[in-house]
Amino acid sequence: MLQRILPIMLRSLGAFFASVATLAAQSYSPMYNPQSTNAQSWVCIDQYGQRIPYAYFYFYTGTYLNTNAHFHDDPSHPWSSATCTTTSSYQCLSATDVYAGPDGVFSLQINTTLIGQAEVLVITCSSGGGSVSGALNYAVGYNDLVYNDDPNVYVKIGGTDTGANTGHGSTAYNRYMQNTPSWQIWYATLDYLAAHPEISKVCLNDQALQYGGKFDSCALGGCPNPPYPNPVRPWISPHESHDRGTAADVAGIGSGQCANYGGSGVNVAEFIDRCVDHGAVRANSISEGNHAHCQFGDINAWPH
Amino acid sequence: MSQLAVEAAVTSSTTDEQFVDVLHQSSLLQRGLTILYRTTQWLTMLLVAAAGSVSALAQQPARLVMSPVPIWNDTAPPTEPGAFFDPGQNQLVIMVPKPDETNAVPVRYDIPNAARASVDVTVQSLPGKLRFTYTLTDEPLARQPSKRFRLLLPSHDAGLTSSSNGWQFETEATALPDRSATVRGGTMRFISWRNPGTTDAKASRVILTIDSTYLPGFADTFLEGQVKNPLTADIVATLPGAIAQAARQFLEPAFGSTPQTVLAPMFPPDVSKSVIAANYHFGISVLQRGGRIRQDSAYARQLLDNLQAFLTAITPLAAPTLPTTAPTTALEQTIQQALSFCFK
Repeated sequence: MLQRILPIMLRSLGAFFASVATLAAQSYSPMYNPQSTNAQSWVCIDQYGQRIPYAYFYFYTGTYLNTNAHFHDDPSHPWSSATCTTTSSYQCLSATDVYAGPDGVFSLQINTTLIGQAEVLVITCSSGGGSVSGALNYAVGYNDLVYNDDPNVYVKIGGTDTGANTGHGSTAYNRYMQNTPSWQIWYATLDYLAAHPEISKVCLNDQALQYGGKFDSCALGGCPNPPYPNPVRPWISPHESHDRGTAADVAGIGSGQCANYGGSGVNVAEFIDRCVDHGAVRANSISEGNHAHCQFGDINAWPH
Repeated sequence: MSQLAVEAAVTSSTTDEQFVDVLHQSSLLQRGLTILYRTTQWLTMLLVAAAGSVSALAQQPARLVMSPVPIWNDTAPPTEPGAFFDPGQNQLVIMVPKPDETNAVPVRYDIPNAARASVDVTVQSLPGKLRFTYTLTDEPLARQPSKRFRLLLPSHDAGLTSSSNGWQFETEATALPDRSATVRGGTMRFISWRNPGTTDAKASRVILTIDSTYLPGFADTFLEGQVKNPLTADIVATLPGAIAQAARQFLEPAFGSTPQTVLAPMFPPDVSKSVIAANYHFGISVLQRGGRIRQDSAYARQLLDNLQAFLTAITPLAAPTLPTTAPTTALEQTIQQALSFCFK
């Protein structure tokens, strides 16, 4: 466990980080899907450009804090594991150290979690003469979620700037959707507003985080107790239906946060009908008390 | 130098400290057993190596190579259809199935991810805009000369202009989402400069500039080397399904070129300060991880602490506090200057 905590704390490991890692400020590439297995092969090359047979490798993974709008952290913070595989390796001594085969190659797989975030694989090769280290930066999530807001018809709520701190920052961070659903809910909104000329804007709340993945909206608390035994629920559901950028919440009549920021609550049942008119899945588009939850995708189509 | 997504430099000889790090999660007994086990394994390996070649004993690790597909084995070449990476030639080897069901035959494509260059960045304030200047110099040991330098930037920066001393400027739309601004449906685009030359001459102090009204933030760059027979999307489209899927990974920027992080025009002036702060927290963490900023940098430590405090504040703050510790390196000074443009 400590080994996995070290990188998250970004503590100095002295000469271990004398190497130069690859860099990706926005983590676009590579981006691995949540809960996926990703094979890699590694080889250690010597000063003459030759492979080093039976080289010894060890490796571990870590995560970059505050990525994908997870502005919260705690000891239960999960991230991907990397595991030695015998596809190419001579021998896996453990999950995280290994001897390469006679051709100098060893294999591992990165097993991602449900958490969208930027991560790193740190790896060191050793042989009799010394060692060399490197790092592979990657991300977990989806590369198809775009920012979705139209200030002409939406009021943004659900972030620190509207008095709701879920551990995910301002309202700028909770509104990423796949392109098609972003238009579907927009047309549903236009239809609703056309039927209600007394209001001009509805309040759109949680869609998905930037990379998608687990939108742990109870990371800092705020979940009802009961039904949840622990109202503080970082890194887990509820909100699994917001993991893929196919859903959005629309505040209902009586929402104080909505009214305070210039929007109007909707008739929840009626708004859901408008969502369904534009492609939302009826069975998964539900009233959640103070808001309408419109779901435009099959919630069994992604891991959550 | 190194390949694919990994760059590495030789460290000092393996130290006990490094092994201790591996063993943190073991009990004392497990540690003893593991050390004994490893010692035995090492002896076995050394004997194998010694039996094979005396010169092998002098081998020292110089670089790591990672491949998302299996690595080609020269001494026992695969005969089944598939996609393999040959680190010696820096090529993707496609074993193409033959209709007559005899052994598959290899077809090779160059992967332009063996270019390595230093990219120095300055950010200068001009009337109404900022000038970003990139000075690109190939590393002496780079195995490919630089051919194209790409920056992934928001596509909505309509006022961006560019110049260079000889390299051709291009833009390319992408479907990648823009996470740096609050622009509805915003996407990123590649802006790039291409070396018009076809020789193997290394790039030396190539000056590339961008003028923009956007504020500086950390951006992805991807450097491509000059190759004779590159893998292309058209070629991949002709391959059988599973092989195409494997080969396609080398069209991804992370595997088909050499990534770096640099400061670039990322943020419209009205963007949320928290978006900027999150970008800097990540960018600086990555630079530290990669050794471009020292792990023990007092400046970086204070800056990360300040950004963290800003990002996690229960009551939103107006802006992050800039470090009072002075930057000590040219890169840190450039970062400090960029921050002052963002949070002034």
